[in-house]
Amino acid sequence: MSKINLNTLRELKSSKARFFSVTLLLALAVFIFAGLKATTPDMNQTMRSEYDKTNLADAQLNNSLGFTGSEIESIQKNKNIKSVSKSFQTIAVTSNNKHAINIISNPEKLSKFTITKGREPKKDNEIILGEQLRGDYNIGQQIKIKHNDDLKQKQYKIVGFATSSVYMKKSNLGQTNLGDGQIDAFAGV
Amino acid sequence: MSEEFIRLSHVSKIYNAHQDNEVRANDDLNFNIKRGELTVIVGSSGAGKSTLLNTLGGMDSVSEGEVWVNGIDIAKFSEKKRTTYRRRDIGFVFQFYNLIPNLTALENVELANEIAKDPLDAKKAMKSVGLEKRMDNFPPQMSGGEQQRVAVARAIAKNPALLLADEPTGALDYHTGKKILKIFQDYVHDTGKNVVIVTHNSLIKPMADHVIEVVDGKIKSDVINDHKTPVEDLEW
Ligand SMILES: Nc1ncnc2c1ncn2[C@@H]1O[C@H](COP(=O)(O)OP(=O)(O)OP(=O)(O)O)[C@@H](O)[C@H]1O
Ligand SMILES: [Mg+2]
Repeated sequence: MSKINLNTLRELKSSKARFFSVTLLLALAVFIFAGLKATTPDMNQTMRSEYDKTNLADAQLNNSLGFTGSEIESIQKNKNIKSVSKSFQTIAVTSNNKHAINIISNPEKLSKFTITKGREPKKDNEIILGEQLRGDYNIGQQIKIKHNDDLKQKQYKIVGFATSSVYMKKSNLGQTNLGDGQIDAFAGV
Repeated sequence: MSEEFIRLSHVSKIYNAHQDNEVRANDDLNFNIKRGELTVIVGSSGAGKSTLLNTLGGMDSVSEGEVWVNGIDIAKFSEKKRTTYRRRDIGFVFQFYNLIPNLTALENVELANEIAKDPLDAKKAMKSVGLEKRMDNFPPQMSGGEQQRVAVARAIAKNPALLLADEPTGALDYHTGKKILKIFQDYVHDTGKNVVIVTHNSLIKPMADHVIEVVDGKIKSDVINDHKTPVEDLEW
């Protein structure tokens, strides 16, 4: 071994603790910076694949009065639009006043739900809840809803749980003038 | 023997130039040293001896002047060129030894040999300074005089064109000191290379071919010694 390496080695041997801490510190720094660097493409990729899988709509048109058939037709005719999916949604409050839920009629082609447990609703009185409510309800349970002009049913049977690419955030699904003002979850019927 | 080896021309080393605490460590030095000479530089403490030796060894740059060694003006050298010059041509015994504490005495000598182009045997060099029994000791385990002798062995083993020694007997007793001086004398005699010894002990002067006396950064006397005394006959 060359003398310069021998000197280095003996220097390290006589200060093992220092060598170890500096090495650890370096490793930590590398770890952090590698993480920071890798996170952006990672997140982008995850989002991309999630959006592709659920076929997230590029745009969503809302109208509190609803759209007429001719309106929908004129949108469908636009040659820049590849696919249109109709859906209906209303905000309902559970009868115990605990949750305000954005109930969406199943959007079949676009912005599809990803079922995490159970199955999608088939009958009129079945409902699939957003993951947000997973801790509060179980599959098979009935969920009672306060009177809502837009809904035929007063109570629904929970058949599953799902996530939606429209609501990527776990909280803050939007505001409402019902309940405590905060929408707690979405649900599909 | 009369060929010129070193020539200093108007060499000055000024520390803290243009400040209140300006020090002219070397002030307009001029002298020549012939090839194969054993030169002794004497002077009192603070006279500028170490400064001069550092200049000759390419350790430091000068503020002004020319330093010709073997036909090249080393004063014009860049930092990098000076490093090469030190590695290839210079053996240096430092006033404060500068041994590497993590290497044994022998390894210290071998270290110098690794960078020299035509080194002598490290063990033989250790033997010549009388330390064959202490080769595996680390510098902190050795006495001052022993460390000084390792430093001498390290410089000699490089087999340099110019051997510079700053107070090489400062920490040694009379007999050991003489032994070391004998090594320098033999080096000059056997190899025809140059040795420059710095000392404040003017009793060493008679063994030299050439004595330069430095006082207050200036040269006070520059004497060629035609009747030098062998080290064996020196007394102090
Ligand atoms: N880096 C520096 N900065 C400022 N002044 C310095 C520096 N190095 C040396 N000096 C000064 O230069 C002068 C000459 O120093 P030098 O070390 O050459 O003396 P010396 O003759 O070797 O003395 P000694 O016999 O005590 O070793 C001294 O006055 C010293 O204080
Ligand atoms: Mg000195």
